[in-house]
Amino acid sequence: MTRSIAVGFDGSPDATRALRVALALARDAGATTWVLHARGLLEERDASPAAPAVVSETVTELGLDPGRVRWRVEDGDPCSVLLRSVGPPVEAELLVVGRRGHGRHEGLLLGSTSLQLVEHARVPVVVVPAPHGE
Amino acid sequence: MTALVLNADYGAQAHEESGHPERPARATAALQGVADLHLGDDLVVVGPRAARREELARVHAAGYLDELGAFCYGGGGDLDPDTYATPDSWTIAVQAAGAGLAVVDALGERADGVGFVVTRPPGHHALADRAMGFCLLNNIAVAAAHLVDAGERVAIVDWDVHHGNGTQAIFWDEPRVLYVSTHQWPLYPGSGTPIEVGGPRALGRTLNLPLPPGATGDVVRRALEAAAPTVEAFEPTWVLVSAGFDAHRADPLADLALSSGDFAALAALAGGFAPGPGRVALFLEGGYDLAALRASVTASLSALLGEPSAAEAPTSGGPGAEAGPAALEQFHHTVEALASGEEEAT
Ligand SMILES: [Zn+2]
Repeated sequence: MTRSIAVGFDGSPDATRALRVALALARDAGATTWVLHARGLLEERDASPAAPAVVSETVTELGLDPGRVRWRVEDGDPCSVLLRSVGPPVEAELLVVGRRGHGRHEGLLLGSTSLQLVEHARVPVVVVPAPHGE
Repeated sequence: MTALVLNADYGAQAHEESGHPERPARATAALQGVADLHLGDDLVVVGPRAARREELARVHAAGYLDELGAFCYGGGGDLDPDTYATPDSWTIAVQAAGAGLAVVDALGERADGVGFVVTRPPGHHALADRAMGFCLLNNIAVAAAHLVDAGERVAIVDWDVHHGNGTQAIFWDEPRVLYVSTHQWPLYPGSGTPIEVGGPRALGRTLNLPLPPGATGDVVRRALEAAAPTVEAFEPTWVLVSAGFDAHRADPLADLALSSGDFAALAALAGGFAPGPGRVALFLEGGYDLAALRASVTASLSALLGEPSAAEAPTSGGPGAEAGPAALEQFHHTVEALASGEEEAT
């Protein structure tokens, strides 16, 4: 029984696809979804960004209880933030991430959050691919 | 007087991305900070050298080294939202890691002097198998591992405003390296709490002293002073400093409130941990306001060389006066709890 699912979210189309998968899995499992935004070195520190509209829109579209979806901004790189989410307060039992890395080089571990997660995570990882042809 | 043993990578201009704060002008500003010391013959410039693969492989995964090289030669790109690589970045990063080795070796041969490694990209966020936080190769870790291999005990003092998660992770279970970090918290990279104390073979070899936004020089100094007994008990034979200057109040990437004069005090403290001459080297990490970087470099090196300097007055009165001592208490508590747990388990 999965009670907590964490999904990395940076606002990109890849992340939005991953978000949909995470929310659908959470709905079926009756789990809480933590939508995690990794705040990098270059981001504004004073303001904690609010959840983008696409998050609440997707929650509504999939018919989830908004109370079971949590938005959280964490300092760090996307990979470290998701790896840490297996600990408190998120205690994720499943990690969901979009496949497209930041690198230009498909197939290289480097710059690919998903491959790094698969290698290092202590819990199952769901990698959501980009649609065929992209 | 004591000589300054310098290695600067003058060719790092090709590691640049338009608009990115980790830029070639940083190295120029740091070198201006050195020039402001007017050292004359007491400035010893060590020639560049590339780190050899086996030297990098002491701290980095072989697969990562292969991939990073291939990634750069293949055109480079973004490695994460913060970190870029250009086609020349591999060569530059290998030179940066080598620069630290060259300085440490030169200091060892002279048995005198203070080392300063002015290299880009910085290193302390780089993990064994991942680039992050502007960092590709962990320069200070490569140098520390080199010393450990030669039988030395290395204290790494990291006063960059960000936690050096890469250095901590690389030496997590290495009893011959003590990692001590003062940093703003919360802040990128999110790690660096006092309950992170090292792995089972190296309990108490990681000491984190997180400080709140707005903390002034007296607060950071107090934290490092609180760490002094831990460092002294470790009996380091070398002291390497992850000298980022982004805790300066003018820095755009963080919110601590130090002046250049505060870095002089921190450098004097760190230098005091070294067992003798020729056993301390500063490695440039962060620092993104060029004027603050230049002045802070001058102030730090003046303090280590025993030279007077006209740095900004030290700062005091910011929040977090008790943060350092409180973190130290939590560190001891955690080490004791884990140590007794280990005993019960065996
Ligand atoms: Zn920094």
